[in-house]
Amino acid sequence: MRELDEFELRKFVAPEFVFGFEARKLAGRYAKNFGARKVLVVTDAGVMAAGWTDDAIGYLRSEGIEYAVFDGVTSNPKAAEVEFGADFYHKEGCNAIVAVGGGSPMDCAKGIGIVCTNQKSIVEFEGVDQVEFPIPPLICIPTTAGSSADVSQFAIITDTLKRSKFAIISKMVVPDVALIDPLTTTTMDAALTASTGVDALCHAIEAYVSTAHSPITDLHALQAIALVTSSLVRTIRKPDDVLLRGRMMLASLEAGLAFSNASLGAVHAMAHSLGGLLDCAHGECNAILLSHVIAFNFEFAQERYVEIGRAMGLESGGVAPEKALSALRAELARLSQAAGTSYSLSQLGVSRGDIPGLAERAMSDPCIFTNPRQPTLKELEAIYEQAF
Amino acid sequence: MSKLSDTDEMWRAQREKIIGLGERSLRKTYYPELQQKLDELERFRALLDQSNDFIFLIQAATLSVIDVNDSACRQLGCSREEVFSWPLANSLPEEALARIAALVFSGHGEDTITTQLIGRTGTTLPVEITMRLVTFNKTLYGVAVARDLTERKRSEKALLEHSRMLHDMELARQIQLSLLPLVPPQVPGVVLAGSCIPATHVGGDYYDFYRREGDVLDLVIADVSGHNIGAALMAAEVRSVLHAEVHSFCNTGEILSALNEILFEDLSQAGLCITLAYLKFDALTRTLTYSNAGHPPALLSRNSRTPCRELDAEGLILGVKKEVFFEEKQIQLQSGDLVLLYTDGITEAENDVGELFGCARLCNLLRGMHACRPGEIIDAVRSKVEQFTGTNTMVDDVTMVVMKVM
Repeated sequence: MRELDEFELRKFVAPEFVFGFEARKLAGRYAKNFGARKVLVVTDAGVMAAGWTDDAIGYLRSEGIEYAVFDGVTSNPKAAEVEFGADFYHKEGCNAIVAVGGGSPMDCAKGIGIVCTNQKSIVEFEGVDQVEFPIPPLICIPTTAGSSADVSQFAIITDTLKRSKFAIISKMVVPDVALIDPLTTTTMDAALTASTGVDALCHAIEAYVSTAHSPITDLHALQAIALVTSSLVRTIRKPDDVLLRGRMMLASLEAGLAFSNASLGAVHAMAHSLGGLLDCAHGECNAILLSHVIAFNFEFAQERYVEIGRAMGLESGGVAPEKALSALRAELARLSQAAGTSYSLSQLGVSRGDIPGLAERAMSDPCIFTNPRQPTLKELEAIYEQAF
Repeated sequence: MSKLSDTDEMWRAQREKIIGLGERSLRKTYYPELQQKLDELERFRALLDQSNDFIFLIQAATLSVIDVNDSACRQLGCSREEVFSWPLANSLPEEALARIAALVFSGHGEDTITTQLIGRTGTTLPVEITMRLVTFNKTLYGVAVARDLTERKRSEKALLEHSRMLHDMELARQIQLSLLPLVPPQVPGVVLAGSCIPATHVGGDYYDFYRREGDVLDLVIADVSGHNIGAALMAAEVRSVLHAEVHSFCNTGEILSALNEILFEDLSQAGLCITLAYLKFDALTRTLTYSNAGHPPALLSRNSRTPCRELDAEGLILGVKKEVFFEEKQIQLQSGDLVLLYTDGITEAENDVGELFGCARLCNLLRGMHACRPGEIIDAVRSKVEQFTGTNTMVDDVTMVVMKVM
């Protein structure tokens, strides 16, 4: 059976992407070629302050394309922000979207696109393949090396009423083009560099052990793991090293290609649940949970975790499974320590009373369905407990 | 293999969908929507092409045609592509072009221009152009809808002509009526009445009285074939000839012979003929002399008991032959006698089953009216005929003359 499993049906969807220094400068040309007349630029205050929004607008203007800026996106974008953005899009008479920023503006831009053409509230698109009509042309200029929303079929939106995050998974929300310019990440501070980097690592690890992984996603996942391991800490120390920034950006892209197609696992299911409750940084939540989830999953994907260890530079030949697990967890802890993302749930402000609710939400998150081990509610609660 | 639990089954299904094997796992494509829009557009174009109006979309900045419907292409005699390179100045007179340019310059509103559309081969068509300015994607356009005015002009003209003709015909009717005796002459010993109602504005019926010296009265009734303007003109001619000639002859037969000879050329040329009855009454002797040119014979009713008598005499319809002899007959009238002269509009009046009013019915009617005055008799006959046909619009001219001997 296992031999046949190797060629189970798999699909691989990736947008057109341009990777490299100054890729962002193609924004105007792409917008024009997509038939854009007026573009809604979706961004956030941090990216505006760093100057990347104005930078992108300049390329639109030089092609004579009009624009309207929506910079009201907050981290963990809220359903209300999506609805507001969609209204704004219509009011301004836009016909295309350019997202400039990290995961939040990009996910929000996807949500705006969905609402614009599907004419329903964003909360109605929760789940897989719920988007009926294609969204307007969407150009993404990522400014973090982690989320990879610019290449993924995921959009994570926060429902503030329910205090939870929900995932929209649809090939319809894959952007039309990602202009991935590592230079945009040079303005990230150490904390953001660290948390987004760890996010990319989590994407790669979860995609690699996912039950929906494929030979193609495996290649990208392992490459991403190796790149983050070798470059993250050095990048934090030398934030202006564009070569290191480029490697982290490539790691993020490859992790994105892997997880968009192989999906994720319990770390993300549980992190989404946490982010919805606390509005905390997605990368931080992942970092806290990763090691504990690996311990829980280990015996169900032992060989794959060993392979991950090898990609991180760990000795693998003839090592006993328990040894391999502890070595992997130790390496992750070391990396986390060095990057400065070593936290616990209690530090995020979670109380033990929140755990049953968190676990329940995580059980219904689409990411859970590709976790190598099918957990029970109690088991998820136990993992949250361990992360305290 | 162990049986999968419900949870396992749900997990498997969700995983399949996430992998992208769900039925609706579709990468973004605008093509289905595009196809649908194109279909809609094609349908809409068919709609415009079906219009009889000529529709032009004009780019305001250049005053050039950038879209047209099929009707416009057909009218201009160009293909769609040719229309686009065909300057508007070639299709419209200068004034119309100036109006369009002025509207475009003003930047808003609409204008309705009555002008001509010039085809490629120089053909012109009267049109009314309604032009409105619209903005699509920040570009100003004019939508010009030109409507063919040919039919409207034609019907306007026809209407005008019709009303002019009606006016002329009314005038002719007035003239024709004025040619009939206004009131019958006063002759001792008889009471007279006459009436002529043309079926249309004018008719070919005619009656008249001529007073001679010594209380002698001539009565004439005539029916020119047809009841149109030609018949009316001929009736007028009959009247003129009679007025001129009546005193040159004493005998009724001679009068008819002369009349026939004079009118013969005109009648043959016009392809018309006339029936005519001519009677002469001497009030002093109460003798009635009469001749007939193929006209329904006058009816004589002596009393209510005896049948009417037809006062017929040999003679050919006028206009058939140049020289004709007309027999002349005489009868002695007495007090109470009624003489009715009429045209076939009465006896040939039809009811809805195709039955004719006929002479017998007319005779019986006349016999029963010895107590009435001539005018009343005429009214009674007319109302009986109307009753019989069920309508008061006659298909033929209806003329009667009644003489009552006192």
